[in-house]
Amino acid sequence: MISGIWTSVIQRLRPSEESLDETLGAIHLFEGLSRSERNDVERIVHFRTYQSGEAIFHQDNPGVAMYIVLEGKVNIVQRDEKGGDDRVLASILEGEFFGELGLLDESPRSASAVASRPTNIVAISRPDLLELMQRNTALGVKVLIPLSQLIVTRLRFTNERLSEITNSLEESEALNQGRRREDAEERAE
Amino acid sequence: MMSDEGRRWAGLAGVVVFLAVAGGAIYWLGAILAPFVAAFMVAYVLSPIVDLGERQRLPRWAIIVGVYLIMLGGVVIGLIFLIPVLIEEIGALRENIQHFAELILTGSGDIQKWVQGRFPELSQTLFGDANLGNQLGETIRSAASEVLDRVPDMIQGFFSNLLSVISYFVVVPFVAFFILKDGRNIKRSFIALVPNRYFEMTLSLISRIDNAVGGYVGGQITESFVVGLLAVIGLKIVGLEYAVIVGTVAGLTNLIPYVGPASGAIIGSIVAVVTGKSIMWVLAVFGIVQIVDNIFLQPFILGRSVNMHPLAVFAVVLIAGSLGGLAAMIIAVPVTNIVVVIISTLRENFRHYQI
Repeated sequence: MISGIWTSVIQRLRPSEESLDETLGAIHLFEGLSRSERNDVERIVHFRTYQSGEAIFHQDNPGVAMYIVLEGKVNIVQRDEKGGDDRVLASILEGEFFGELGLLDESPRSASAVASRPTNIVAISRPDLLELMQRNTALGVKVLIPLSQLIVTRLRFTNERLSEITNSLEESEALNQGRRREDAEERAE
Repeated sequence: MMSDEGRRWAGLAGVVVFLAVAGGAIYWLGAILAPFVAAFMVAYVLSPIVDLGERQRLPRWAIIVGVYLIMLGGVVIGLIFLIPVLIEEIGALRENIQHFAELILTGSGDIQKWVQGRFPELSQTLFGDANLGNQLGETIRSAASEVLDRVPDMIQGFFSNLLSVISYFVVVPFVAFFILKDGRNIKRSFIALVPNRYFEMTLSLISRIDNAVGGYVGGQITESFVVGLLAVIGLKIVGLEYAVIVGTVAGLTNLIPYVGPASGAIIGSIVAVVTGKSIMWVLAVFGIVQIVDNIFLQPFILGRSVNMHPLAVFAVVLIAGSLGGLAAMIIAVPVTNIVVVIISTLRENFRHYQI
């Protein structure tokens, strides 16, 4: 009976089981899981509803969870340190996820996440996922490998971007030096 | 729309009202809430065992039923073996009180005679015309009889209150069963009630509390059980009378950090002196038990030790003892840890989380 009460409290907030299962199955982190393993993950998720303009988390807050958008849209926004307008880095749509680095440690969020229209999301907290991984190590491996791949891909992308920026800085520096040399030669003539 | 500042004050007012209502509820409904608190503690202690079984892909309810049956078996075996021995030892102790009082009477009488012989003036100042032996013997005899007479009354008093029996022996296992079975859903339902702006902070707070005290209570109970068992075995080996009583008391008091282990050794030493056993043997037993406890039990059973300075633990235990007695001393360390974690997380959140 008591179990029924709690289930009904959660049920009110929860989308249909099939749609959540489909959403989880379509997400890279959980695509390797079997149906019963996805059910285990579904048992630890938190359903949250946000109004348009409401923050899901703020930049610099310690991260503790990852989020999956079920319905609506979330903007990832970075504060302009020089006091200008906030910069929208990305928009997260239905079936996409964000804040996954919160699954690794409590390091500060690099950007804020703000609902840009009424949005339903599910949150998976690090302690709950770690506990689930301890209970079911096979599931843990299946989640951790794509998570590491995701981080490696991001690191590679960041390295490429860094290398591009370094190259373009070097090129513009070389260009500036060339111009200065030409100017000096013109003045000498 | 409410401004950020207004919302912050409204949030703070909400927290204050919640704490006031919760405090009032605890104060007025303490007696009714007590079995639920006990059930929560039982569930907290048993949850690592149930989680362990769940890793073997067994249904949670089946593991809980299994654990309950094993515990019931343990209680029955305990009642069959331990209770008769304890009753016998208490009975023997009561019968021997007369003998012990006479021993003390003779011993102190001897001391008084010796002082009278050597220093008559000092003796007159110290004792006057009174007989020290008679006085001491009478005091000890009446105090000990009073304590021992109260033991059956205390047990009878506990059991004669039908409501408390029903509360503790029916409500506690029943509620603990559902907390163990549906604990995650219950936790999620409470988190679902938390406003969005406190959501991540709440997740972080729950995880930190779990890290700070998780396993501590269960570990402490397991450790005390093993210490009590080792003390009984050791004291039996050296042939101390009332070994079961002394060992059981040592195990129970071991739940209290620092103060507990010393109490066991002191009680054992008193029994050794009174029964004419060598005090060195008793101290050796408790010394060995403490070494085994420190080297083998604490690192493995307690695992994550609480992050508190020994002096702070000592102070907290003593303060709790003076405020709420034995039960308060036992729960003082985990409760203090929870309070410290809550305060530090809230402080951090006022800095980092924009609440």
